[in-house]
Amino acid sequence: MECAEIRRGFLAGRVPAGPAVDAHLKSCPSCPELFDHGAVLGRQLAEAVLPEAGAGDLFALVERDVKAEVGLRARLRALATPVRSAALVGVAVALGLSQLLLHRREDFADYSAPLFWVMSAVLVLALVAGSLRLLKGASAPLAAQAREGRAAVQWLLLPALIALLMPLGTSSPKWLAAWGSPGACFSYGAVLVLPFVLLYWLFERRDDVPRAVLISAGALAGIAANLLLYAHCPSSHLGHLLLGHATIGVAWALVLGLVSRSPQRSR
Amino acid sequence: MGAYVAGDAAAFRVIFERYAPLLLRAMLRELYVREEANDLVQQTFLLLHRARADFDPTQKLKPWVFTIAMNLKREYFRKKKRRPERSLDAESAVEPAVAALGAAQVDARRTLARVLAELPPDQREVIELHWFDGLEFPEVAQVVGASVSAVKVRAHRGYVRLRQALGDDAPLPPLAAEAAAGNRDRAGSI
Repeated sequence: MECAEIRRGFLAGRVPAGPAVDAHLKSCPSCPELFDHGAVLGRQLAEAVLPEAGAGDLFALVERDVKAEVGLRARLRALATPVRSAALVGVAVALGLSQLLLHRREDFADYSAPLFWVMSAVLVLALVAGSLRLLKGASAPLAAQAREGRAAVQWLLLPALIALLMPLGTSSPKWLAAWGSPGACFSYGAVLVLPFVLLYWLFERRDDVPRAVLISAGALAGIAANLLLYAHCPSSHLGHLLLGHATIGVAWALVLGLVSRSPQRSR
Repeated sequence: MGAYVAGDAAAFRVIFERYAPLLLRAMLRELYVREEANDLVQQTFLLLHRARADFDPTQKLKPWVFTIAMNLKREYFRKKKRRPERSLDAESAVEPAVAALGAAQVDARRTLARVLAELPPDQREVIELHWFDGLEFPEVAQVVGASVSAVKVRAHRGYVRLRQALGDDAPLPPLAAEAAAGNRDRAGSI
């Protein structure tokens, strides 16, 4: 016997009884409470169950919505979540590779290649985990949605954490001392990562996106920007890395968070 | 759902007819305005359509549909910045079936609604999904993203609090047999 059968018994207007019920109550952690004190709780819960509500002509509206799902964005956001995630991460990796091949940092040959690849792998793994979570959207379990704010903070802190734990650069005094121009790196990374943000918007299925989700999307854009900047920017100055690189995610999170304040949906 | 994903457009109507009444009931339990409940159900089916490629045909559809719907409802209340209260009480205003209840039963429903609203959200959620939306505990576990045993423990804790809050002298709704006898008595006295 299952808990659902106990519920159905109460819904039928009786207190379930019999050997099967007794056996269930001995092993079930939740149902015994329903039977205490004349089964008051089971009977009251059953009494509170309402009949199903008629849907009226709602189907016509749903059908209209479904018929309006045409065009590029409709096709893109209908793709399965692993496909959309792979595409989103693919854009970030392509941006990083383009820097590595076309605008590689001057001191690339001087510093630890394993450290560079480990750091890149950490960023790519974060992008994979984050984009899967982000693009699952409203079909993700309630607990995952409730933790979205915490996840956003983690993604926002990751670039700063990497800058602190894995200082990536040569020991050359020139680069160690270089404050560089964090503003230039910030602008370069923030603009170059625009295709990532645009693709996320094309992939997002919800019309009203929760703010925590948009902040996560901004933070992931920041991670993508850090991936490409580590291939491009030779500065290993902590101040530069924190101000010029790690703040890109914060900036995108702020921009997307502000977008969520504007009215988006009208029916 | 498998048929719909495979391209059978008519299957969508079947899914709608099966789940829309359940979802509307779930929405109306905590919303005061029918139009808003309709809007959330409409959004649920639109997201279901957009996410159809994600559906795993080896899994049940009901918990998946409810996951989408409950996420939308939670976001709705977050944006409105209010928690649902007096849910069953409010429902009585829009559901004609409830109007036929006796005063004692309406009181019992109100009391239950009040103590339910005071439960911690994770316990209330589990009890509502199981009792009022008719999901089995493994389905509830899928919706909330917890193990079945964790969900049963939450339900137990919620039941204990509910029963304590209701007290031992809470009015008992009549059993089917008692109600039938009562109806016969009333019929006889007319």
